[in-house]
Amino acid sequence: MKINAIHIEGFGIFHDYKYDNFSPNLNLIIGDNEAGKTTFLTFIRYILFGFPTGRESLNPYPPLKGGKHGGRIRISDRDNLNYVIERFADYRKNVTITFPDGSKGDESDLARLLGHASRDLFFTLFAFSLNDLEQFETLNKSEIQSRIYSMGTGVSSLLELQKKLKKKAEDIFKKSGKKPYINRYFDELGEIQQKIQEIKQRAESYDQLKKEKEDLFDKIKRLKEEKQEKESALFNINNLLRAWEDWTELINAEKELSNLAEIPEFPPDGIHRLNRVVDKENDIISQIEELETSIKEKKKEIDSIAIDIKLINHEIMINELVRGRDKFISAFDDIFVIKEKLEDAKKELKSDIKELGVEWDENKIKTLDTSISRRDEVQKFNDGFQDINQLLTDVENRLSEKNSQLTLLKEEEAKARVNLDAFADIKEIKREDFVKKKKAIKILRVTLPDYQRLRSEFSHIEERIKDLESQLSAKQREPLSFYKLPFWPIFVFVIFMGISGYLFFRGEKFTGSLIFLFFLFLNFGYLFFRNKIVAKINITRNRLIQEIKEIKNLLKDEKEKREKVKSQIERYEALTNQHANILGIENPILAVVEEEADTLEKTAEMLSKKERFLEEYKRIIEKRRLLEKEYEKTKEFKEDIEKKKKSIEEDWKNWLNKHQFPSTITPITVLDIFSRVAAIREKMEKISDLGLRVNQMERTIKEFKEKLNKLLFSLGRDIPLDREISITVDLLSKELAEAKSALQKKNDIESQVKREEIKLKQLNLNLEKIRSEKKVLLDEGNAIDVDEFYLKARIFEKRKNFIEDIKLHKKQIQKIAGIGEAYDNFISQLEKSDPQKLNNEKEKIENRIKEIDLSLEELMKTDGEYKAKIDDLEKREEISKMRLEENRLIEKIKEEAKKWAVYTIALRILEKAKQRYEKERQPAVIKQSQLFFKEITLGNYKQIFSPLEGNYIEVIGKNDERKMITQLSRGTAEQLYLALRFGLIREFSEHSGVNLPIIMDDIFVNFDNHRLKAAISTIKELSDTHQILFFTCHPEISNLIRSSIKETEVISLS
Amino acid sequence: MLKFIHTADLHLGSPFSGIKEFNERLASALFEATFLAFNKIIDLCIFHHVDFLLIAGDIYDSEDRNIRAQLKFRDALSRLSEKGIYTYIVHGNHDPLNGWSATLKWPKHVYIFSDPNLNVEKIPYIKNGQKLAHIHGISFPQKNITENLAKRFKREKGAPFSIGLLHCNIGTNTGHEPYAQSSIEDLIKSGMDYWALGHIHKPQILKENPTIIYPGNPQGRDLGESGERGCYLIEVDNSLRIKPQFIPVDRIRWIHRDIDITKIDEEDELINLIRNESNLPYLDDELSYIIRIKLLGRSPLYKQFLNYPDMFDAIQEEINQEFQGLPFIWIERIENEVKPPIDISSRIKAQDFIGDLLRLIEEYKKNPSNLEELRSLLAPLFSNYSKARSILEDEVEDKEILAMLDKAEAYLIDALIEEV
Repeated sequence: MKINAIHIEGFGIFHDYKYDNFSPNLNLIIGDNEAGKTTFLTFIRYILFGFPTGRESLNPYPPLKGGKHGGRIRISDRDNLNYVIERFADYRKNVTITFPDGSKGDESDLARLLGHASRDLFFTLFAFSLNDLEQFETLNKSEIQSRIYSMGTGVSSLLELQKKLKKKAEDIFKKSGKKPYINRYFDELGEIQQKIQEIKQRAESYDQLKKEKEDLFDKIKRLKEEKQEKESALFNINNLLRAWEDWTELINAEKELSNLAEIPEFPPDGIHRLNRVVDKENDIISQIEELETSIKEKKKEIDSIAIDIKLINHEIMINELVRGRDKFISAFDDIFVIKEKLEDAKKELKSDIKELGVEWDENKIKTLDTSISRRDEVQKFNDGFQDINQLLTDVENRLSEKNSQLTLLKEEEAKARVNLDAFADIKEIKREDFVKKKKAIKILRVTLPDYQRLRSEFSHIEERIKDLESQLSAKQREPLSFYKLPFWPIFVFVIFMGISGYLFFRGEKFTGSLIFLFFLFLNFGYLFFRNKIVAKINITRNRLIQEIKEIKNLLKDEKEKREKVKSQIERYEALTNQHANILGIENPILAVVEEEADTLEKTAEMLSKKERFLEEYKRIIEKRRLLEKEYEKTKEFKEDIEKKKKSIEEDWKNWLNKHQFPSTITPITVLDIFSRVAAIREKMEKISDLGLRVNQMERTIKEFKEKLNKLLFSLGRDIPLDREISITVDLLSKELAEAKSALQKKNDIESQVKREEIKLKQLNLNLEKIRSEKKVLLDEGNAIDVDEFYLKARIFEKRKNFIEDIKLHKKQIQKIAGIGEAYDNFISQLEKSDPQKLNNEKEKIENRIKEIDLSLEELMKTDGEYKAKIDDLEKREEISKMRLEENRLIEKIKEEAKKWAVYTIALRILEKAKQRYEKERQPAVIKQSQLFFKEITLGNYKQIFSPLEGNYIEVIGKNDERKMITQLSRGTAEQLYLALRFGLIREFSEHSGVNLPIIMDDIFVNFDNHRLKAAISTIKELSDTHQILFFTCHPEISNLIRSSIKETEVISLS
Repeated sequence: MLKFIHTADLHLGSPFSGIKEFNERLASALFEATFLAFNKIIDLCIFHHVDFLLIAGDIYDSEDRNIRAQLKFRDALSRLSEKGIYTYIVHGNHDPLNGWSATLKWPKHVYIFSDPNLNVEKIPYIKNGQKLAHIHGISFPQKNITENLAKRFKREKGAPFSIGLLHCNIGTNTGHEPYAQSSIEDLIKSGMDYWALGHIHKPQILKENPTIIYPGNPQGRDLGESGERGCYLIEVDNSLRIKPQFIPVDRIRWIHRDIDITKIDEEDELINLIRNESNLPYLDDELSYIIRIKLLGRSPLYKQFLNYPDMFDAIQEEINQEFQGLPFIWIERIENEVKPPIDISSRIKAQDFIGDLLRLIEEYKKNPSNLEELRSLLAPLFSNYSKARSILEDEVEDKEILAMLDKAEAYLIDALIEEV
């Protein structure tokens, strides 16, 4: 890519600066300080890659001398096709590319033209100043870095990979350390192997254990035998001791038996039987004696009992008297009391009748009709009087209440009147008008702001139209046609060509043809030149026409808009005025409308208040009218009641006359008389009852006395006094009872005596029988009497007991010793031994057994332990488990070791590959740069070296000395950077296929003369492929360049 | 005429090796396995009514002092003795006569060759009053017997069917220590009709007429002892023709499975694949499997494996979980030999850093002398670290180093390429 022409419309100090004579190779741009070299350089940078965004805040080079901020560059590509790149700072920073055919392109087309170089890349590699050169960091940007090491491995990641591998290996194994896996596994393995060793040692004790166990078994066997022996001896001794008591008893019993007399036979149970017979005999004798005494006594008693038979014969009569006695006594006692009561009652009756009045006697009382129906009649009159009086009182109360209510209402009415009068002068307003006004206000509130807005919009549109019209006239004033070269010179040239032809034919062949050819050439040249200008003019004119067209379009739009707004304004105006009229407002402003709305609101409020008061007043008047009506009604009602009362009083007087009562008494008095008459009638009945009772009593007394006297006479007893009658009857009754019980007793005793005499006879028979039994028993016992019988019986019993004892003891001993020969042996042993000796021996044996038991226990325990140990060893699976575990760990170690090996090998290979790469295979960029550097330093440095992982570069001098950049002189360092840039530029071109122009801003300042020359020759070399714009203010540098490179295009900015 | 079973290398109670993870259940199955296999041999003897059982050494590892193993052995032999079946035993390098053993009373019909002076003992086998066979044997008096013991065996003239019972190493590169090293020629020279050998764990018939057999160990204990394991049932007819028959008795069989996961790029798929591959048919109720799976190929899962090294343990656990009880199928290990899905052949040509690196690795691989450098690089752990020496010394053969190199290459490529 080459820059052909440049047109700066406005940029820094440049204004409408044009240059179109760039060389495709080297351009030397000379200018003093502040001539605008850097501005020029920056302009190219900005046009190609855009103006800086605000964020970058670089110097935007505003157009100091006017003109639009920006401009255009014409470039040509590899195929010599031209493109115009245009960019302005304020035009959204968009680029415009005009293709050779006139079509337009955008940023992506530009990127393609620029070989996709980034802004950074271009700024650092292709357009740099001395300042950039000195800053090595500008070369460090990642993109450039990656280009240097285009082999594709990030340097930093290689380092990281190395670290990672190292760490991985160390995680697995470290010669000294506890944590790494292998180290840990080895620790575990050590433990397991230790355990295995222990188990093996334990296993070796197996045989020893078995032998010891056998010895132990023998010992135990011997001891067990001895124990058995001792135990049988102990058993024998224990038997002897156990039998000893029986043995002594046996001997004693035999001795005693031999001392007793022999009685071969005796009645079994003799003593007992004799005792029973004797006891029975004595018992019967005492019973007989007892019975005989009893019979004697009873007979005596019978003789002593006396009985009054007469009384018993009159038993029925006596009983009758006893039954009637109580009745007689009560009649006898009460008769006087009742007679007195009768007298009192008669007196009372008389006085009661007197109380009723002189006209009343017993007869009148008896005939007075006091039936319930009559009483009801009186009661009804009474109730009638009471009801009517009550009604009358109620009505009077109501009347007085109504009266007071009326007075209150009158006061209220007066108050309401006053309230109403206060609103007397409030003006009425029509409801219809009110609604209309309200609506008008509502509409005005909406329309007025819109109307206002429309009007201001209208004035805006007007302004814009004016603006556009002035723009249009300005554009139209611009010349549409440029100066065109005239056509007539062609004719002149043709004429000259004709003249030359004439000369030719005239014989001036050389001159003629020379002139002809000259004019022919002139003719074509002129035509070519003219056509070119015409094309250029056409482009500019077309653009102008386009712009005018656009402005006209805009103007048309705006005018249409204006019409639309205007018609809207008119519509709003009519609407507003109409509603303002309704309100009676001349100047329809929102504030006035609001004021009117306020007034309207207040009037409406007052009117509604007045209406409320009027309603209140009307309500009171109505209430009063109703009340007065009610009062009149009540009064009429009262008069009715009074009439009714009079008619009832008339009826009552008639009733009194009819029933012969005095005409002045009230119904209550009549009711009182009725109840008194009833009481008197009751008393009269009581008096007649009392008279009947007195007669009855007198009769009873008389009958009783007659009966009694008759009885006493037949008994031959005296007649008693009246007051002794009762005692006499009691006495009679008592005597009768006594006589009757004596008779009963005598009969009882006689029958008892009879029974006892029978029993006595039986007892005497029993006595005979028992005595003969006793005789037989004594004979059996061979005894003369009872005493002898007893003696013999006792001896016989003793003998029997001894024989039993002997048998028992023998059996006991046999139980222990056995029978037959064993028994005899045992007895002979018993005969020889004594308990003391036996016990001593027993103790000895027992102690020995205890001893044996203790050692046996001890030995068994040991045996058990041996057995457990042996069993344990026999059953142990530990060794298998441990060995399995051991193998597992070994396997793990092997596995981890292999991993470790892989990491370790990988690390080694990585390091080696890196070394080799650094040494043998520097990147192409470095190689390229190296050539440039060698050339510029005139062979003083032969190699540039950039380690893979480093952010640094070293150089190697001609004598193999290595130097860091910091060790280089300023000039040499700058030469190195320049060489590196050239190398990178070459590399970029190769990869992108685009040779971008190189713009350098006075970068040779620090170069000495020799190296300057060398550098210039590298530039010459580069300029074969790349267009170079070299800026300088140093005449010696520019002179040197000009003299070294003849075809340099020199551009002066001054 | 004659029927017997020949076994050797019982290694009763000796542990399984190579198993990185196991649970309680598996552990007990593992240390029961050798006993169960031997018991099965006893069952076979009884079932086939054999005349005797021959055991050619290495019954247990004396080193281990495993009393229980010896007791169980005795108990098993008692079962044979009760049936009147004889057992003839020689000891080998793992259970030499001077090695530790518990003092046990052997059952009636058990004969142990135990001449400490390396004299061949000859025991006649008599059935129904007829001498049917001569059994010759020598036990190892101590562990290190280098003498060619086979040379001491000689058939008697006019002897009946003659058997040599010996623990020895025949041939070279057997993978076993060269104890009592001998050759087939030496064995033939002895004139024996049947050589009942022990020592080499892989079952094999070395020769017929005379018949020379290694029955192998009846129960494999590591991946190196994979496949069927058992004993030989030998039938000899009246014309002394020998008919050997191999009968597997192993309870836990080791199986190797290589799985190429090039086409697999999801973990779920991987689990399913492993599950299918490991889902072996149960042959009978007593045979369990321990499987080692090796994942091969280039797969995008490489990265995942790298980032989640515990993934295999998890997969293994998940699948193993499904197998409960006996018999079981247990994935013992999943070996990750997977490489990243990167075409090395094109990368190696590139003139960039990775190309350089790959070429460097290639140099190592092609030139074994370069491996020496790596060996010494690994020495701090593999040979100089005293604790590890005995375990890891053998793990740095060229073969292993090349494998490590392969893995390192995969790791580096994956790490570097991702950075691009």
